[in-house]
This record gives sequence, structure tokens and C-alpha cells, in this order.
Amino acid sequence: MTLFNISKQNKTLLRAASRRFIEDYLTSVPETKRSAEWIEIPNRYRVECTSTYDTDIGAHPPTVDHNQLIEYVSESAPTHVIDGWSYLGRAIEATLRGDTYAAIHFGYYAELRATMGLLASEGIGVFNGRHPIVRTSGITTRFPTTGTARTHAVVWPILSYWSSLKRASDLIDEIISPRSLRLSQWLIGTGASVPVRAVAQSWLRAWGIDLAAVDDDHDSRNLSSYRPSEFRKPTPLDVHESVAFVEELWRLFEPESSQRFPRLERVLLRSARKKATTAPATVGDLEALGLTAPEAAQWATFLADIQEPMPLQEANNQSQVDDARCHFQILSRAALLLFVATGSVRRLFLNAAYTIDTLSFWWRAMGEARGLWTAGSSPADPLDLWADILVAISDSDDWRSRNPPGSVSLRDWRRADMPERDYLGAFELVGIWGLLT
Amino acid sequence: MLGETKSQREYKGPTVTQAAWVRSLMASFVKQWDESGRIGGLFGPPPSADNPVLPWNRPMQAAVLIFAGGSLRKHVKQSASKWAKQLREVNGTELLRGDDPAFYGEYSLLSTDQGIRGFLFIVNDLCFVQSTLLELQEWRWENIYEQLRNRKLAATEEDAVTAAVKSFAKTKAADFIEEINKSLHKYDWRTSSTPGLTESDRLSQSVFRGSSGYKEMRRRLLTHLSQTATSNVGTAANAVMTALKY
Repeated sequence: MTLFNISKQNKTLLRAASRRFIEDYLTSVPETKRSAEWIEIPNRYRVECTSTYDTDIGAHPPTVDHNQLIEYVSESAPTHVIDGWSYLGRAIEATLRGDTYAAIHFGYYAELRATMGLLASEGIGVFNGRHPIVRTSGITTRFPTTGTARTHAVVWPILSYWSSLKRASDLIDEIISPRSLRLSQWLIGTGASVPVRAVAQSWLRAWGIDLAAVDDDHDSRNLSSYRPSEFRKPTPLDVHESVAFVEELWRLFEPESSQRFPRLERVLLRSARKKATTAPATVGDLEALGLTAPEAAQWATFLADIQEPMPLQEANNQSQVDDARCHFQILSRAALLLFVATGSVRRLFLNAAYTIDTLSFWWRAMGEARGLWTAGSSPADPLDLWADILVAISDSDDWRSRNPPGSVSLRDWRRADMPERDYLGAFELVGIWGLLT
Repeated sequence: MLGETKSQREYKGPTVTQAAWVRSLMASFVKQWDESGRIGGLFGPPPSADNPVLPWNRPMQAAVLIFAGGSLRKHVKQSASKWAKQLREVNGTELLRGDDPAFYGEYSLLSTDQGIRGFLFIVNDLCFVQSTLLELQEWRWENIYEQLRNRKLAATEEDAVTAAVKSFAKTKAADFIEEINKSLHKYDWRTSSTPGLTESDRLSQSVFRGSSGYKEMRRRLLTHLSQTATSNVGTAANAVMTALKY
């Protein structure tokens, strides 16, 4: 399989995709519908979207139902993101079982769904060979204009091209806004002369790089999905490394009420600064951004810290499937792509006035189905479940401090008395936290 | 403060993250009133325009929190309760000089997310149900300004908060919070991991771990106050328990 080459005409079409119309659609959904289901049962694209769309496109004249298709694309944005977090959860559970091939398999699909959710929120539906683009007029247009472009071959070229657009950097600038100051304000205000557009493009291309590998023999996902793991299996890592990675990944997603994932935003800001300058951010500069003197001092210390969380380091590396850290790298990139996709959909929901109550039909049922709570005992505020995650990662951290590397096995960790350990694979929660407003 | 892990920060004592503080404030003081209006956040939006909102600006809101926390710290520091003595005797993570292990220590629930939220719930909820008696509506920025009109006021937000704390300390609400804390220091704030706990104490304190700990802490603190506090505070605690159906 080779990657799809996007022509000038098709690039024009991608630029015409309308995030605004997706937002308008979500805003127009009546309360009775938005609080009951994602998509209406009779929607003609709900069950077999790709074949139905292909048939509609091929008919003479075309029989595309634009309203129903727009409903499908709009509602696929949050639902792809939800599935993406679930895949990441399964990848983490595989990691904690020492199954690196399964982790890579699920990690790749987490990346794919994150990208599909992100693009859907921008008005670009990713189907099979032909893909609907939602335009400002409320009419959809097929992509590519002629021929076909299969999902795995087209996702990376579209993401790569979209990441070069100003709209991508505007979105990143909005999503990463520690202390309610946009990334660009932080960078300019602290003397880091790098355009957000360059940062956004660099990040999105780095985090989506696994989607670019579609060659059967070099694609980690292909190898992990279709080839025997026993032929190219890596040497197992010490249990400390696997568990520490998962603990650190969770810590990046501690939720806050308004600024959903402030720690991740902060470390991404620091990472962006480092791309442009090694000069420290001064307390004076930070005070000029509106921070109090004690806050500015804390931020100056934080921004000067050179130690990055493990997932951010791993996201920048790319290894072969038989490298013991390959799955860490893919899972880190998947988490970061999901963060962006979730932030994108969250903004749509905020602007369309979706609330935690609006979406209770979804998150309460999902938590019950995934064993996060029992029927009738869903939390009033799902953010409170961070307390359970914190117990899980604290217990695990304590276990590691009592049992030095080399002295214990994965089985020892799995058999240790840590009742909340079960939560460590529950990355669905991050999706719930991120999407609820 | 900014989310560093224990191994990354200089201070090795227990900390509650900024995100956890914000979540707890949002769940207690900033919570929107429910439709019945029985228990809402003192700083939160009322359900309708017919309900009065407290005319407190940001320095005043900060002053209430600072006063309440300072009052609790003072009473815990003076506490000779068995739990407090034990926490001062166990060797935990080194604290800053002068810090009371019963308040700041590794084994104090007051250094945990659940303990802090439990305390915030208590102050908010009890003041909320007694708001008329405590004349919360009467404490206004104009009063603070009036008292200090001949001085350079509020050059910075920190100055404004300092002035508001001094002013709040003279209110009925401040006396009420003092009464609450005179009882709260007697509560057993030991975590389940405190060395030397009996098995039954360890089990009893372990209910505060995890998300179920928030509700359990709130319930137990209310029960404690209803049984041990002065009549005003005990009455308020009972009213809150009734409203929450505990």
C-alpha cells in the first residue's frame, strides 16, 4: 500500500471543510435529542456508512442525504475520540500484561481514531475509499474528487496537510492555554520566538508518524497485527519501567474543573519553549503576563526544569517493533493525539452548550459497562474518580520504592495487594473527563 | 504546586495538587445551588435571579478561605488530642521547620485531597445553612474600605486580601468558624497508613481512600460535629445532614 498523494484540487477541497458548520449542527440539535442519543436510529449512514455513501455517490444523480451525512460526521467526532481512549486503555492493559504486540496494535488504532475524531471535528469525514467533506454551505462534497483513497493510505496525508494550515495552529493555540493564557502568549511573553504554527505542525506530524507507515514490512502496526510476535519479540523490560511509564502517563491527565488537563498543557508549553530557546523565562516576563510574584517564581522554576515526563520523551522516538520501548513510543503519541482530538471536540461542545447532564446518557452507561461503577451508583462528578486513579498510581509507586528494580517480576506487581490497580487501564475516564464540559 | 512528582520537587512532604484544590473548591464553595436551594456553594451561582448572591469579591472570598484554614491550623496546633499527639511522634517525611505534623504531616488527612475537601464542605455547608443568622449578606467590601479609608488600600490584590481577612475576623461568621474548628481538632485526622494504628483503626480510616472517601469524610465530619459541637454548630450540622439525607 502506498500513501495517497493529495492534489492541488483536493487540497482546496480540504481547506473548504467547515468546523463552523459542525459547530452549527451541534448547536442546532434540540435538547431532547442531544441528551438521549448520539445519532438518530433511522440515519441512513448509521449502520453501513461507507457502503451507503459509496452507493449514494455513485448513483445518477447522486442520492447523498447531506443532512444525515452531516449528522453522522459531526457525531462521529466525539464517538471516535471515545473509542480512541478505549483503545488506549486496552493498550495500557496489554502493556501491564507484558504483551507489547497487542499494545502496539491497540495503540495504532487509538492514534487512528484520534485522528479521525480530530478531522471530523474539522468537517472532514474519514470513511473508506471516498470521504465526505462538510462545507460551509451545509452541503457535503466527496474527497478525493475522483478515484478512491483508502483509510490507512489517506489519513496521514490529510493530517499532515491539515497540520500545515493556520486553522490547525489556531486550534492548538486554544487547546494549550495554561492558566487561560494561549500558548502563543506564553511563547511571545517569555521570549521564545517560535510561531505556534511551526510548533503545531511539528507536534502533529511527530505524533501522527505511525499513521505514515503503511509499508507491510516496516509498519509496526502491520507487524504487530499480522505477523507472529514470537519471531521478532523484544526482550521484556523490567516491571519498573512498564509500570512507571503508565504511572507517568496517568499523571499527565489529572483533571481540573475548568482547565481540563493543566499538567499536560504545562509540560507541552515547556516543550514548545525548548524548541525555540534555551534562555530561561524570567520572573519579570512572567509577571508581565499577569502572574503574581510567587506564581511567576514557580513558573520560572518549572519552565527551567529539563526533566520531561517519560511519555513526552518517548513520543519523540521511533523504534522497530522488536525494540522493547516501541510500544511506549506509540502509546505516548496516541495519548497526545487523543489529547488534541479531545480538546477539539470539547471546544465544539462548550460552544454548543453541551453539559455534563446533556451527555449523562452516554458517560453514566459507559462507566457502568466498563466496570467503573455499578448500576445506579455513577458519581455526581466523574472528575472525583481521579482520587481512585491517584490511589492506584500511589500504591504502585510505593510498591516500586519497596521493591528495587531487578528484584521483582511483573507477576509480583500483579499479585501485590493493590485493589485499585484495576483502574490503571481505565483510560476511558480521560475521554469522559475531556469531553464533559 | 505545578504538578511535579515527589522525586522532582525539593519539599518531600505531602502535597495536594493545584488541580485537586480547584476540584474541591468547585465541588464545595463554587458549587451551583441545587434547585431546592438547600445546600449550595457560598461563592456559587444561585438557581435563579430571585435568590440573593453574596456580594463578595475575589479578595473577600480568598479571605474566608484563608481565615478558615488558619483557624483550623491554630486549633490543631493547640490540640492535645490523642491522634494529634501520635502524629507528632511518628517519624514521617521531613517537614519545614515549625510545621505541625498533625496538620501538614505525611499521615494527616488534612494533607490529603479528601481531608481538604471534607473541611471545605463543612465550612461551606454549615455557613450556608446559617447564612441569615451569620449575616453573611452584611459583610461587604464597602465596610472594609470604610474601616481603612485613611490608609493606602489595596495597592495590590495581596493587600486587599490582608485587609479582608482582618475585617472578616470581626464578623459573626468568623466566630462560627472558630466554633466549628474547636470541635474539628478533636476529630481523628490520622490516615490509614499511620504507623502504629490498630487493625480496627486502620480499617476505619481506610474508607477515606479513593473517590468514595469524599462522601464518607463529609458524613463523618458532620456526624462528629452534630455530637460534639456547640449548639449553633451542632444544629447546623444536623440541618446539613437532613438536607443531604445522611
